[in-house]
Amino acid sequence: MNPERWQRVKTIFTSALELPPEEQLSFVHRACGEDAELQEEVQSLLRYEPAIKTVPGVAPADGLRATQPADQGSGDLSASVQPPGDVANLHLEIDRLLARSGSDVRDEADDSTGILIGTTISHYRILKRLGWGGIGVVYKAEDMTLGRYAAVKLLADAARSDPGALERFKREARTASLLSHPGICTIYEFGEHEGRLFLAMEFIEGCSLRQFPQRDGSLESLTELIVQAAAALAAAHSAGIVHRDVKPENMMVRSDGHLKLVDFGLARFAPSLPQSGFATAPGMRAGTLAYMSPEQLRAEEVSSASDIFSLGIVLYEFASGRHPFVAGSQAEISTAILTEMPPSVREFNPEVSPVLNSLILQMLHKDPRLRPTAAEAYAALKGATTPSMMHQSRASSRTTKPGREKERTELWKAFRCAVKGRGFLACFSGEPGIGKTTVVESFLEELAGSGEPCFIARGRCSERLAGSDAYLPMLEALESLLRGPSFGTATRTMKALAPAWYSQVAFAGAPGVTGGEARSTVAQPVSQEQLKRQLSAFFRELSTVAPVILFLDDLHWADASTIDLIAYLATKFDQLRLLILSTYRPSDARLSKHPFLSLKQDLEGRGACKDTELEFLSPEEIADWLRIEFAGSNFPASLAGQLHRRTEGNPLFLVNLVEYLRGRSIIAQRDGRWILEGPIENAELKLPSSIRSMIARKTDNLSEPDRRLLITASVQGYEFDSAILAEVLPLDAVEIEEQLDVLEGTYRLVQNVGEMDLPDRTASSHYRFVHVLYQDVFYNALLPARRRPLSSSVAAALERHYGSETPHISAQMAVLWEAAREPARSSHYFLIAAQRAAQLSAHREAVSLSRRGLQQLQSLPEDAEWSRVELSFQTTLASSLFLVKGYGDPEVEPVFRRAQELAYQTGRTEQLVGILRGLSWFHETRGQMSVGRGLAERAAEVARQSGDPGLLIVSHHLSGDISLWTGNFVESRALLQQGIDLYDSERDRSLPERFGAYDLNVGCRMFLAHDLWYLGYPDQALASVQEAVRWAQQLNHPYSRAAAGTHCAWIHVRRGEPGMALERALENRRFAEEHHFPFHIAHAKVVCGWARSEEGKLEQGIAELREGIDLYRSIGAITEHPLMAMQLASALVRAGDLEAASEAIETALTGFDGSPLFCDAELPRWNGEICFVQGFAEKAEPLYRSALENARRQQAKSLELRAALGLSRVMYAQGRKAEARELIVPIYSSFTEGLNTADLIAARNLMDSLA
Amino acid sequence: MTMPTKEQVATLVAGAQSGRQENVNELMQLLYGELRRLAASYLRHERTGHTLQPTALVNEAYLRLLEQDGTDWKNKSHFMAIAAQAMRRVLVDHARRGHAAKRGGPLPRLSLEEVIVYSQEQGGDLIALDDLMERLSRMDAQQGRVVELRVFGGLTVEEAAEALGISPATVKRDWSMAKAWLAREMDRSGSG
Repeated sequence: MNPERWQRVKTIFTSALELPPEEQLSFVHRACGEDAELQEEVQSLLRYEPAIKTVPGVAPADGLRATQPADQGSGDLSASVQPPGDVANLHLEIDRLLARSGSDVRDEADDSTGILIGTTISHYRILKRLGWGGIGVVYKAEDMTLGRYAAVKLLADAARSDPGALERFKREARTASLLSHPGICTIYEFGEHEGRLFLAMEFIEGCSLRQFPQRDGSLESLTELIVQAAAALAAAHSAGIVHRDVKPENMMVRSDGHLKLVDFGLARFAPSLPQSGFATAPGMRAGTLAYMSPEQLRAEEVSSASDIFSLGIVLYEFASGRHPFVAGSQAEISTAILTEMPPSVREFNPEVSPVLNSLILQMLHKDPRLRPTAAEAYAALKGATTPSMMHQSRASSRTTKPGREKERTELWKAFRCAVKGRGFLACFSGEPGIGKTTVVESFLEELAGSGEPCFIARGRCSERLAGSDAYLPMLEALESLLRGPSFGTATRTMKALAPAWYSQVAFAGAPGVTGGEARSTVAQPVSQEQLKRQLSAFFRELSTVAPVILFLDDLHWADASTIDLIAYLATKFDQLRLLILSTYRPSDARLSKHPFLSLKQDLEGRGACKDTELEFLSPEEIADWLRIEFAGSNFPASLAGQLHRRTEGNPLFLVNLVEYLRGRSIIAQRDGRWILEGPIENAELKLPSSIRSMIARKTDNLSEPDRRLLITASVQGYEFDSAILAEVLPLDAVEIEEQLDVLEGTYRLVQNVGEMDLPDRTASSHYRFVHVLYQDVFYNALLPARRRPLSSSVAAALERHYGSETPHISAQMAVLWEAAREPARSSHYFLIAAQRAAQLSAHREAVSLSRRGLQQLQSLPEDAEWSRVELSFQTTLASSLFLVKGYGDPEVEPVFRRAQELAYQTGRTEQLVGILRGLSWFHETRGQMSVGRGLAERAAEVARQSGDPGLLIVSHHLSGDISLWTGNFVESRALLQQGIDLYDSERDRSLPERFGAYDLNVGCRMFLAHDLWYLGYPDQALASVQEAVRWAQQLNHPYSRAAAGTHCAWIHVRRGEPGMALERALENRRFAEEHHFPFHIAHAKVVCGWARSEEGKLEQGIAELREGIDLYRSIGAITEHPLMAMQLASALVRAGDLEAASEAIETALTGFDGSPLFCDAELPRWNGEICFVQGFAEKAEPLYRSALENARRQQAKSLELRAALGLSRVMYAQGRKAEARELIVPIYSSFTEGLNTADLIAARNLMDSLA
Repeated sequence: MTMPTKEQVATLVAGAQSGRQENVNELMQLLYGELRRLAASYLRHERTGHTLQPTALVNEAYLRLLEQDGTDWKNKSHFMAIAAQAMRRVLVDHARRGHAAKRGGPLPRLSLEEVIVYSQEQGGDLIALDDLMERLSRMDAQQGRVVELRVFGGLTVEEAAEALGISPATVKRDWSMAKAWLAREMDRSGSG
């Protein structure tokens, strides 16, 4: 195309345009002659210039390019947007050319309005009818002077007949046209056209809010739009304009997401339609009833609050999915609007927050005065403040609050009373820390979220100022009212009815008060009587709007005048909707003979007061709380009981204790589940200072003998015996018990648990501290210098009385001797305690006790005796550490090495086997197979020399283990079988105690299962491992169960049984988590991941696989990684991620020392698989062959079969069917069992297709 | 550059009309700055969401810079001719900058003045239109001017004719074909 040609095109084109359409084509054809290209050019241009115009001046339909078609009229007063502003004019023109919208040129005459498309009203040329509504018809028009789109609304004829209406309309329109706000459809002008009123306004492209949810129905977007609407309304309201017809049809959403309100104030100019039985106020239309406010329905004066009501309905609809007032007929709907409270939004959509719910309900309040203003609604929706009349809750909701259902019920009951018009005083009493304030605050929070209208005032009595400053708590309460969001109402009322109070409060710097104003109201002195009367009047007036809640905290510190006030208010309870909530401490009140007590009694007598004493929490309540606070937790069932014992159910202490435990990671989260990591008995608790001071106050008042008694008791521990104390102090036992009784009754510091004679029949009573924090305080009050001798005395006394029973309290003894600085004795007990713990499978405790014991040993000279003791410690420590940390954890090795050293030193060679095994496992787990094997051989030698069958079994198992993982399946099988044969269930069940880890029968069978599978006996393999599981369950030995479970799951994996593998692995995982065996948790995850990906949940499965592998490696383990890596690769291949699968296989051998491995026949096969899937069959073949070779060498028939399967597939793909058959058939035939396992089924299928 | 008086501007316009290039350049510079400023202030004071109407801006620029008493019909069109060009430059420059960001180039730091509200899509339209107009101008410079005046200056057929010194019929012809061609080309390129 060059300029000359261009001119030709232009000439032909413009000439053609001048001809009638039927002649155009032939003209073009003639003019272009041979030049087909030219013809095409002109003709295509002509297509974009429709020359057909039936009516002069009529533009063909304009479809906006790629925009949503405008609303299809039918009652919807939608308007459209200005097209992208930059090319407005071009679009204007081009629109006429494009016939995209499909609507064609028609004479769009409208009977009721009689406007033709194409005619001009003022300087607007009518383009298209958009719709009609109660007001009139709306058109899309072109503003010919400014060259932009506009919407022109032509009012229905009926308006004409009423001259008053015309005037009103003009006034309204004038005012409305002054509104300039992004959320309001701008009115350009209005006027008269041929006797009819018209309104020209902004043309908005988009859809109405009614249709918007089809585009995007999320609550966030809808709320965001309502926010805009609220802002627009706020602007209009502040200009004195009420919309009167807020509804989704009048809210346009532009394509760029901006919302615009249309039809402001025009509702009253719509012709009213006859409604049966209803007063037809102007603006009432059929079908729009659903958004009217009660006052509109009653045809009363409409205010800006009406708009809020309507907006509230819209918001309700969007939030809940339904209209708040659903009923059959219009009459019923009206009744509902007038009288019924809509149900909470949360009933239909629980995701709606309580704050939003409360806002919506407030907007729908029947009384317009109680609705938030548009500005408030805007702010609330924006999240900036809470809605009108609702206080921010001060209670920290960091944790949920335990218990307290009863109290909550009481509070609600009292509130309902107040709502009905009966004032009430509700008291909550209890010890410090029991949670009185929390109970009330939680209730207030709940109240705020419920949407119930009320005023909340808070005042607190101060200890510091107790009794001095008159009325302080009341002043504080009043100030809180003024500071709150409802300060408007409160301020007005207070100023008017309680000016004396107001001046006090305002002078204190309340908002909305200028200095001058405040000063001017501090004036005449006012009598007490007057003060009381004013306050009562204030509350009375305020409570007519909504019930008032006055919360006065810690009343036992209140001054007399405040009590007086309360008494006065109480006399007016029948006129006041006032609920006074108070908390107090009974002991404090009693001690100071506080006037509040007599008032309370008095009111109780009259039924105007209820006192609820808060009780300590029961273990069940604590358990419930734990369940909520730590959702999905895996706590031992005894935890609630333990916590209850430690805190005696005191909620404050409970929360603090749990916080403490959390901080020390004793309660911790693992893999998203909460578990208990260690015992809480030994936890040294540091007191938070508030509690400390609280306790200090209590204990300051004790007499010296009492303190001595309690201090001594604290040395013995959280629990103590009167007989022991009697011996240590020394005092008469009876006297001591008397003293303790007093301490229990008056001070509640200790508690008598019961008579518990000591093992040597000495009479004694057992006590405990009310909570461990008290014990702590007393213990810390002891000077270190005193601690030693005292601990020593107590320990000696215990020894005397317990005699041979001391092992039962070995932990306690150990700690006591530790404190007494007697390392010899304490380490002795630590060892006993550690061994007992290990026996009970409390491995973490065993670890910590061993360590403490070892520490004690440090201070002793190294001699033969101590070396033996140390050896015992190290072996105990080592075995427990193994299980707690995992075999490959670096912490483990030094312990074993040290133990080995000591074993040689002390000649205790029978320990050696266990130690060598530990070291062997350590190295094996870390991939150092040859070192591992060497150590196993050493162990075997020692065992042979000793001739001890137990040791022999251990060493057979160990050697079998190593053989298995180095790929010597035949040898391994023989060794393990030997172990099994030697095993005597009576004699050898104690082996785990001696050597740690799992039972040997279990251990041998579970590894044997692997060997059997490899060697081609999948059914025998399953049988073997299932026997291991059964035996472990019978022994009820946790670690054996976990180990057996792990390997059982693996055998299922090998057999290709994802369902069973998953079941087993999930169960095992829960078990391992409960007992904290990370090694087996890792295995369980891997198997779960594999099983899930087999079942098709690839993403989840792969993630789980990776998690498991990461965990496995993180505890230093390597040996089984290749096995896991292969399962991961399998899942990745399924998912199509071949690169990742390759990587998994490649990195499978990192960390190994290069010795032959069990997976030597499998990894090459996997590489082959990946190649094959990628399509490189030639590369795959040698890999398969190598796998095949290795498998044959290992005599691993199952691996041979798998490799052969892979190779056959390659051959099959290459058409070498005979070869494939020759390969597969012999191998398959050699199998005597397992014919229903996945591999053999696959082989059969392949053979079938090769036949 | 101090704000020239209306008389000075009128002189510039006359000079530009007579073909004095330096007057044209000076006027262009003045208008470019003025329109950018107007656009920015328009948006600062208006709340977001209003669509920018270039023709409105151009009109306002005219009122500020040139109109003395009553509408000077002749001068206005000459003024508008240049204003239209300037307006186009302002919009396209911005769109290109914004568009560059869309393509992944470094996001230019737009100063407050330069913020003009256009969605990315519209920017794309604008650039496409600008490109098309360039192509059109290369085929037929006059036709290109007609389009520019009408689209960015909002001139009527008569005003454009006056500004360009051609007959209204010619303007109509040029405009009619240009429209069709633009519509077709935009349709083909899939933009919009």
